[in-house]
Amino acid sequence: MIHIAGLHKHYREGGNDNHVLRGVSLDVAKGELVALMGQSGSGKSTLLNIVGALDGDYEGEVVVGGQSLRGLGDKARSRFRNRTVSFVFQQFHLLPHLSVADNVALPAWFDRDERGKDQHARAVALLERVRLGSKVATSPRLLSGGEKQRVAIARALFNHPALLLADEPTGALDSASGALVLELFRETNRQDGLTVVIVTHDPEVARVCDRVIHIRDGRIEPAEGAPAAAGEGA
Amino acid sequence: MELRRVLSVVWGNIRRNKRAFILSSVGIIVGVATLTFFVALGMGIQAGVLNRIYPVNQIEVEPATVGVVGLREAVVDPALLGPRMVDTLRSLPDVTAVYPKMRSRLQARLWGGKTMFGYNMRTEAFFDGLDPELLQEDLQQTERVEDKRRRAALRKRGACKKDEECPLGQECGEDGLCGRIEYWRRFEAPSLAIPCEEEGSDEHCLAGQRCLGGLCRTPCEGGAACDEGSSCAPQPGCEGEGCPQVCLPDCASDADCDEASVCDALPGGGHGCVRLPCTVGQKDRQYSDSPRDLAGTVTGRCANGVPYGSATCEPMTCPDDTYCAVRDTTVAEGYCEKPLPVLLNPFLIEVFNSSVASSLGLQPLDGVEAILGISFRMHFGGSYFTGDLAKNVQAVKLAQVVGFSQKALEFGVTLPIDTVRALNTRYKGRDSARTYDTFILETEGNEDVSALIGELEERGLSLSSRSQDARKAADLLFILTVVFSFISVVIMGVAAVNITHTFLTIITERRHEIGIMRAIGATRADVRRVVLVEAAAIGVFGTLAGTLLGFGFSRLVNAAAARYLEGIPFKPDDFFHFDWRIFAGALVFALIFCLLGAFVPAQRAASLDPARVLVS
Repeated sequence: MIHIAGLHKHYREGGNDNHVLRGVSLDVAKGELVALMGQSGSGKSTLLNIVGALDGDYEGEVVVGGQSLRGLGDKARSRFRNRTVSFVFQQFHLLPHLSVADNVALPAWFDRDERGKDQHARAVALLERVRLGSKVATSPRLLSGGEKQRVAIARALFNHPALLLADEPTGALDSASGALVLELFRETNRQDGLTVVIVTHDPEVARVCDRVIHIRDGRIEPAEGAPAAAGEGA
Repeated sequence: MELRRVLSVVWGNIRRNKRAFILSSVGIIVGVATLTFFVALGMGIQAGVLNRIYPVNQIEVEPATVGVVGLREAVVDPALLGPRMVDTLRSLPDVTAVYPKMRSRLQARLWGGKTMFGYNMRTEAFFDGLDPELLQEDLQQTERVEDKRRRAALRKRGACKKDEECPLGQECGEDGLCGRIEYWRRFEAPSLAIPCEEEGSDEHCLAGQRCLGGLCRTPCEGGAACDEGSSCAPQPGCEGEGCPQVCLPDCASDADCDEASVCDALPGGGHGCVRLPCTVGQKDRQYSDSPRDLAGTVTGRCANGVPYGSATCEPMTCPDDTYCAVRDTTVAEGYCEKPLPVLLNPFLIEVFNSSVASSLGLQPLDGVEAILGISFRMHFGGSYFTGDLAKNVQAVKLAQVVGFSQKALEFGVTLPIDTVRALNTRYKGRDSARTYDTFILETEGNEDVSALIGELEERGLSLSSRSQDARKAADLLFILTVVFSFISVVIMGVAAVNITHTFLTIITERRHEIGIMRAIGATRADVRRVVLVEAAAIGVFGTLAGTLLGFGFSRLVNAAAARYLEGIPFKPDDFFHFDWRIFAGALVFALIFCLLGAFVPAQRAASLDPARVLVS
């Protein structure tokens, strides 16, 4: 699903060169539920943004779902984000002036092929799936953090993506809400065969994942029992 | 991103940020209100004031003049100002119609209005002549508009045989029913009995006529043929041998002749229309205001058909719609004639209402139709300003107001051009009636007549001072409108800067929303579109609110004008002319400035890095 080879990323600000990713190479198979762990500033969120085509300024090779992200224009990147990947963020990022159902159906607004389809019914079905069937017409302002995150998950699933990228999805939630969110990730991964990459600090999250990838100072740490060179790129 | 989705996002944004939306709209509202107010004012003054004083699409030209020792002299040979000049002008590009005007060449005075004001108003009479055929449509339209305004359309039409059987303001139509008098039909040259002094001379008679038996008549002796529809017969009233032969219109009955003539058997066989001679009894009665005195008595025939002079002869008065027009002020005899039909310029009524009425303590007139149909007297050869002509050539005639036209003389009256030609010829000789004085040209459009004016100047003609004033006034109005429109555009420019500032702030506030939209598939163009549509919404809202504000303010100005500007001539009921073009123009300007103002924020929003704003 994901093939990364020799990925480097620099942030250049105020004359300083911050080398965030230092030759990351990584493969994630289709249907895997992967946790990406590391300390703050280790580059895990940057890696997630590059894989999600939010950030196109890098060196190296990134192929997602068989599509290389190098050299894609704005339209192609937007279409990729709309169709192939989806995001769940720590801060939920729901649009406050739209209803819960409209927030869920938001990806369809940017998909020309979705015109005329019964978006609302699909949004309602997804909300029922994340146990929020009673909140269809509610404003996101009236939801708890856990509920907001479940809406964000429903939104992420709306366009049937192949890859779901979650950045600290339980970071702003209490343990009960976090557990429910994790359960949803697990459920979608198993039932839909969706590839899920979760960036997290939380060992509880890592525990439910198939694989845990550690990243440190911009490099992938070798998996336990694996040769050290596995994480080193060119 | 579909437009309805964009609109949905924009509507949500507006609802969340009502204050910012309204603050951003204020400048546009003020700009649009200023623009619509001043453009509507300009158009309103153009339509309601200028076009009434100086009709649009109409210029008046006259022979160019040069100053010679304090006086002005024409530079063009007057002989060239005849019918050929009319044809020449008609052939010029952009000219759709030519109305030659002939001014009076004799002094005259007039009086009348006793029935309306209680006493006769007297003034010097200035008059000119216009071709009735060219004015028919204009007069008809004006009269109908006045009728409509008055809402006095006839609902029931009674049967009648004579005008007297119909209510006031109505006449007996050819269909035997009473109908509204259509005064515009009366503007045609009446058949006048033009007296003359030099027997046999043609100097003071119209072309083709000669002085025969004290009247200008068309001779047919010496083999000269009469026109079709008329026959050669001895001069009516002449008895015995050696009477001159004159052309008389053929007829079978009185109905074939005009109202002032009867169909008589002619000595040589056949019938011809003969003028009815009449007398008012005493010469001073020609000045009378009494219709009975003016009706006179027809001489030479009796109302009951018995021989004139017999004991049973019933006196006959001049027929309906005619009066006894006495030959001159030294006698009591003349011929029955129809009153002279007269046109007035609506300007005259405005001036009367605004200035004259209050000075003389009279009631202002309620619209031009108030004096439609009223009669007054014209005294040709008499003057308050200069000396009178000899009494035996002065003549007093009855005149009737039959219509209103912008082409009529502003301070004076307008008669049919043939009547003026006949009067000028009668008093000043043939040469004086061969040329025209001015020409009213109607053009396709009034935007650019410079080329036409150039052509006219080559022919020795120039714009009349009135037309020059019109152009100056129109230019001034245009400049003022442009200046105020420019000011309103500047206001909108400032509003655009305000929009830029507000939108930059809003975009900073909404950066996370923009980021998430980008993360789930919005392109840069989608983001840009949302910002620009939100700015366009300000433009639409600003235009609607600004137009309403401008319109409301215009109503206030109208109300204030009605209250404080009473008595100002040409003050229209509405100083403003609003139409869809003003709204469309304001909308275009508002949209342009809103989009310009939002351009930089839209670019900034589109270039936000979603990866950064979503983690910040």
